[in-house]
Amino acid sequence: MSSKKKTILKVIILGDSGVGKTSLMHRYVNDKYSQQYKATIGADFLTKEINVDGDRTATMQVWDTAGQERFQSLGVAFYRGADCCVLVYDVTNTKSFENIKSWRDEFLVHANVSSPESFPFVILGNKIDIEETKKVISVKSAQDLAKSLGNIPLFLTSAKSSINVDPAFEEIARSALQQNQNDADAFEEDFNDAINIQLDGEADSCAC
Amino acid sequence: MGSTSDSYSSSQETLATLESNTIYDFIPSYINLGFQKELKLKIIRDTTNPVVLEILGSEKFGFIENKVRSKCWHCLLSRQLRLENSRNNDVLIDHPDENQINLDVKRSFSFVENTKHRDFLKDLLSRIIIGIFRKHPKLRYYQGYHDIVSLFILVWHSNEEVDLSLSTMILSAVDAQFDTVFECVEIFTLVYLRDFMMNSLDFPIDQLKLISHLIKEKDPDLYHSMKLDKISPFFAISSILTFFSHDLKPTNENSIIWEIFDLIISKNSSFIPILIFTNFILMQKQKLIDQINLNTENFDNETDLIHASIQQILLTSISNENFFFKIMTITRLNYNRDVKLLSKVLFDSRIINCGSPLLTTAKGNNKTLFDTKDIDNLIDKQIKINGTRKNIRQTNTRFNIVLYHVINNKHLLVKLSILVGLLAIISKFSNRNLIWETYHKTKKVWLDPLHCLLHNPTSYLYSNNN
Ligand SMILES: Nc1nc2c(ncn2[C@@H]2O[C@H](COP(=O)(O)OP(=O)(O)OP(=O)(O)O)[C@@H](O)[C@H]2O)c(=O)[nH]1
Ligand SMILES: [Mg+2]
Repeated sequence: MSSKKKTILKVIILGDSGVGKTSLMHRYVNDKYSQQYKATIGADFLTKEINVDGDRTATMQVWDTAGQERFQSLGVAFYRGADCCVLVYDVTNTKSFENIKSWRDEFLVHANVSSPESFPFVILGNKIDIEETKKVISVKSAQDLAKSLGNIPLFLTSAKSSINVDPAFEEIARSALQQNQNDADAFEEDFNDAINIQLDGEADSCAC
Repeated sequence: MGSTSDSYSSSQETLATLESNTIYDFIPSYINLGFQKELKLKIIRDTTNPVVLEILGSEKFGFIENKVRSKCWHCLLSRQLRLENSRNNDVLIDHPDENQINLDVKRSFSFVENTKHRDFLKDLLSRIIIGIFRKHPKLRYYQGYHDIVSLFILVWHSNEEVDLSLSTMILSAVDAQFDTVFECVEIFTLVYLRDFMMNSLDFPIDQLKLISHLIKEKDPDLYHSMKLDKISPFFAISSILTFFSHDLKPTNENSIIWEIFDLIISKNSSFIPILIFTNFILMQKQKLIDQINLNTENFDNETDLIHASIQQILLTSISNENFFFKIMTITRLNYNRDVKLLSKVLFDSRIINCGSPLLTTAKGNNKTLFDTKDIDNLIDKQIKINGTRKNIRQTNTRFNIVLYHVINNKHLLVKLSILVGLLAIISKFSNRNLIWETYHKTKKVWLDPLHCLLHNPTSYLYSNNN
């Protein structure tokens, strides 16, 4: 009976504006690339049917958010229920790399996931097709970061030349599926209640 | 033809009739659309009275074609705001948002097929946007502003042959045209878009609430089916921030997006995009409910479900321009009534900041000519209100982060409990006021919102609104 129910894997893509989130999503879902994708305003999503463990299928739902900082307050509305979070930087842009950690923290603070230590992230260093001299983030420093954030899988990709995009999303699907099953199995510890109790306590002590 | 056009000339006598009727009362209904447009075009060309232009622009077909539209927009906009020293493009100090601007300019005009013309337009777009922000450094750029400016540029530059031969024209003519486009963009920005150009999205998110409110008033059932009592209508953000120019592209002279801007400028009203979006939802009610039912299984939560369903419906509607023409008709027809419906929330609950275009420079049918000093004052006022709002939100977030770390760190939790316990004991034995005093003196930033919320839950948020 559980095999009949559709499995939806919700994946959210975060990262600075212009790193190529929309391009990666279109490359993965439609196998297309255009120099001319519009800037993302708010949030868009695309879906793709995928095969998991042989003959079972699942729907991968990819949510693409706007990168400009001011849209973050809006983007967090879509963090809830994510099964995997993809963090993207641009190998030719130092700032976008330095912001990876804060995108992850921002996600964890707002997504309200059940066990933050084990929540799956994947890091993508995009635009590796660009000539060597323009790259500013070395493979080594990317690996170090991925390691320091808790051994997050790292892929160097190009949405433009279709390098490593499929392997990256296979990993994303795999970890999302695992998270999805963990979540279904796990006895949910409710962090919300913990927060409420804290706040209620404070309110009482201040009101008197 | 000649004699017909004479009888429609824009003399003062016909003006009175025009205000009470629509222009179509004069045109027999058996005349086909093409001919109706031709007639209207003739009337617009002959019109010198801006009040008549306002009426013509608010009516069906708007200003019809870009050649006359450019003149009409310039005429109407310069009656809404008088700019001093318009020529001020030589400021050299970079604006902090120029990086983002360049990123978005690169991705603009994707629907223009001729690459040479596209590059020409992008160059112009970059010069205008950067010029605006260097001239008004207090304003912040947002993604989507570039879509609006792109539209303005096309009003003057939709003909690629003319543009590509521009380089061979005399420089002063090119300059003069640049100045006109720049002036129109500048006025439009200052009169209509200020809410979006603070350093956060709080004000546009406030505007979105008006959509929920209108739907609640006009169709309570739909309001509940869409769970608008529980979710924020973020699904409309790109339409509102760009006045629909992000989604509805001006691919030709008949595109609906021109009529939308004709209506906004002629009515001098920032309410138009909100009303259009509301009418879009009301008119697609059944489709939308079906889509929501179809999608229910597929989404994790209600925000996702409603956002996705509306996005899907919007996408299918965009390709059907006839449908949007219908929405425009309804929007024109119900304009006064709908704005009245909103006035209660506008003034009572103060959802909208008091410096907003919706309450000042673009509240509809304005008779005031503002000047740069008025605008400067409004911008300063809005920046102040926005700053307070943003601080509250940020300190709240910071507080959440602290809580998050405390809860996820068992050791810290234990230590903190001990600390709280100790404090409690101390407070029992020592002067009870001591703790309060220390608290008030230190004024730890992250404790502040808690303090205010506990003491004064609602009024604090809006205390700076006036
Ligand atoms: N060379 C190269 N350019 C890329 C690649 N991926 C994206 N780009 C370019 O980078 C720019 C930004 O790409 P988008 O996919 O729109 O970026 P985004 O992260 O979605 O940006 P926002 O929507 O603003 O948050 C575009 O001009 C793309 O053409 C890539 O793999 N290689
Ligand atoms: Mg994008």
